[in-house]
Amino acid sequence: MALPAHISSGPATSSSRQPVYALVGNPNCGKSTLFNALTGLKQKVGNYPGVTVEKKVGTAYSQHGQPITVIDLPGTYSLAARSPDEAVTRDVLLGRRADTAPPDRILCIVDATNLERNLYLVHQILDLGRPVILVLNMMDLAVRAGLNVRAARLEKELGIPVIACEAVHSRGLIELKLAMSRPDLPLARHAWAIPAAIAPAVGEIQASLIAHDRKAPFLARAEALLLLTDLDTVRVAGSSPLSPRTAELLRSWQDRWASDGTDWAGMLVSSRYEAIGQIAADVVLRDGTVGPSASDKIDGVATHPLWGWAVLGTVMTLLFLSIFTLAEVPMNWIDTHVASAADAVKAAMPPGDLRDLITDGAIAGVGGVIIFLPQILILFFFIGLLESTGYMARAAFIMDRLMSKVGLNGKSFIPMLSSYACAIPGIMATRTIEDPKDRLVTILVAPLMSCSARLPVYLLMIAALVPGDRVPLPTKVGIMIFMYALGTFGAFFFAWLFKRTLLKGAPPLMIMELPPYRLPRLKDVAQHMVERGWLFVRRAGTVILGISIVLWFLSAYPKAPEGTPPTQQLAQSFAGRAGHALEPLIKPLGFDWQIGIGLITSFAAREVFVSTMSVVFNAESTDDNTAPLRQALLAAKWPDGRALFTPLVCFTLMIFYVFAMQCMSTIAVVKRETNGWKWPIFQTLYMTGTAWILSFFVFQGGRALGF
Amino acid sequence: MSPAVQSIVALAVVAFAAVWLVLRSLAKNKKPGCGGDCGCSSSDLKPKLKS
Repeated sequence: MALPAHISSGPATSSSRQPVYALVGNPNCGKSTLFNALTGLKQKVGNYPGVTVEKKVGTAYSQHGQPITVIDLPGTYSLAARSPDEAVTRDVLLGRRADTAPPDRILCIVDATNLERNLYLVHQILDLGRPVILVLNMMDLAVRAGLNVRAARLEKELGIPVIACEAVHSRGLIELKLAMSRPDLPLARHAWAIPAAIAPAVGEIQASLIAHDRKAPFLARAEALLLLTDLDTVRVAGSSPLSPRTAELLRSWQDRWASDGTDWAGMLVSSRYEAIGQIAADVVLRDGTVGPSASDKIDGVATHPLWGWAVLGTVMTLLFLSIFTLAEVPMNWIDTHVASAADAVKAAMPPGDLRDLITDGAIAGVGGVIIFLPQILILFFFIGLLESTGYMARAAFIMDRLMSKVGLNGKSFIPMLSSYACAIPGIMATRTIEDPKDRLVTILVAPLMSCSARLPVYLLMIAALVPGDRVPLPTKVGIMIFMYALGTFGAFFFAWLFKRTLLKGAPPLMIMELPPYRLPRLKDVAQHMVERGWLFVRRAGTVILGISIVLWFLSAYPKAPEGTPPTQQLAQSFAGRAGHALEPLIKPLGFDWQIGIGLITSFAAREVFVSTMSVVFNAESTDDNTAPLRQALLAAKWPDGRALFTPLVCFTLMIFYVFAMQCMSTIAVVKRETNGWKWPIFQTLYMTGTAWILSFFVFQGGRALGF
Repeated sequence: MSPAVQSIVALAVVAFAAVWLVLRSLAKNKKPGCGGDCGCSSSDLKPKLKS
């Protein structure tokens, strides 16, 4: 299909405006890696599909220093969107988004090892009538797989620039930037005959889109083809709807074909694949002597029904062993210095509120959380390794067998895996899920996965678990794995329950690409780890510092008469009164009013519990030397002299935090993703209700058994 | 610094922190994502000059 001269002639962009390139391609073909290489940004990359779920905008510079805007779009196999993230790509390219102007040019990146499948999207993109540059990425992997992908032949077939590239090694970038700088990018001349049975419909819908929806002629033709294949089921906020006339015309054609049995969508898809098959056969030469790849051999074990679970268990055990062993020295160092800082302030300042605010509020609150930085860094280093190597997708594959039993598929497990780091990116990653009910179920259960904010709570409770002695390493690792497994199986249980009650639906099939294993890019992993570590520190230095300061005030005021013991002072303070008001509700769980204060404040974020305990127990301390929090917890007593933080209470608290919805940010994101308060309120109630019930049974059951 | 002055300064710091927390929680509702706490980036990234 050759394009008319008036569109193909002349530069594609105005010289007065920065050209805008949209970066599109199949999931996990290296779009974000190329985006980072072009723009110098540090957008998250990973070796699994669905890392990017929203458009990202950056600026690249041509070889001549001219700025070029690049929009990184979520990966999609076709413009016929099946999920909200794919709909973002479709709507930006078709100019349906009110917040984003249609791109001037398109940078279409394909995985050279899977050219034929990737060309389907390219074929649809070429229909848009915009200048396109095709980037053949992963050429090194194609060579290793015994494929000879002839870029020059493909360029000749399609009539657009084709650049061979290895984005991960920044190879081919100069050629790509030179192509992007060209003012006279040619338009495609790919030939594709629309099946005769549906050609009249395409013509009519195209004319209506031009007349009633103000679409440019070629964009209207592409959209008409798309409307006939994707049925336009997925619309996202910000995309403009079809005009009533066009929608009516589309419906009338579909009704006509439905009544006479014409499979219009199938016809279009088959016709495209026929054209693509011819191109691929001409462009790709295969070396028949190449056997199974290294990835295939590794997958023989990593995705084995039995050994796969063993590998997953080993990976998790290694992760938690590292968290406990490698972090010990830096944690002790931080702990010592936090205590020294507080002692130095106490020595330098006379007694008074400001001194108490600094030592018992700011230093105790922030220090109590910042001590867990080494463990957070180790957690994110491991998560980064798993994402970078491609093992995440295998974990989803293994879990698919289990997920299918609860009515979800492995695709839901990717957001759940992301939620081990933080529920918010996990919830956003649910945009890759096609079925709205499955997406909602995944959103509802994703916060049950133990996120990094729970880690400080677990670690503090494990440290306080065995009074007067150090907790043996196997016990620590065992408890930690148990908590993570409990959250995961809790998520599975509730997914199963919701799929059978509130959100009934047939179990979906999972179609997910297993990316080839790659050596981890340590630079990316380290960068991601440092970014997350910095976010943790920033949060400690901002939100947690702010909450600690306010909490200090709430625990110090109103002031008791001079000479009142610190415990009495805390009990009659604002925070103490709030804790006492909550105590009847939490006493059956073994928690007193001081723990109650922590439960209230940690609604802001779970790790605030740790800083709250630091503030509360430092506020009670009369000693001029600041004791580590673990010792302060172990010394805490009920009014009758019983120890407060018994092993059973510590364990119950961990169970409570596994299930309780203690995160305002997550609630806000669920509200945004579900377009209302109904589901976040339901989620908060069911999670916190479950936390209370399970904690009650664990504590009361443990007590009955003599613990 | 006398205890009375310490109390005044401490209460001023507390008031500032409380107001900042309230304003921050209100401002977050206008932004996409979590507001930057969790590591999920906003949709528009700050461009960086690259030679």
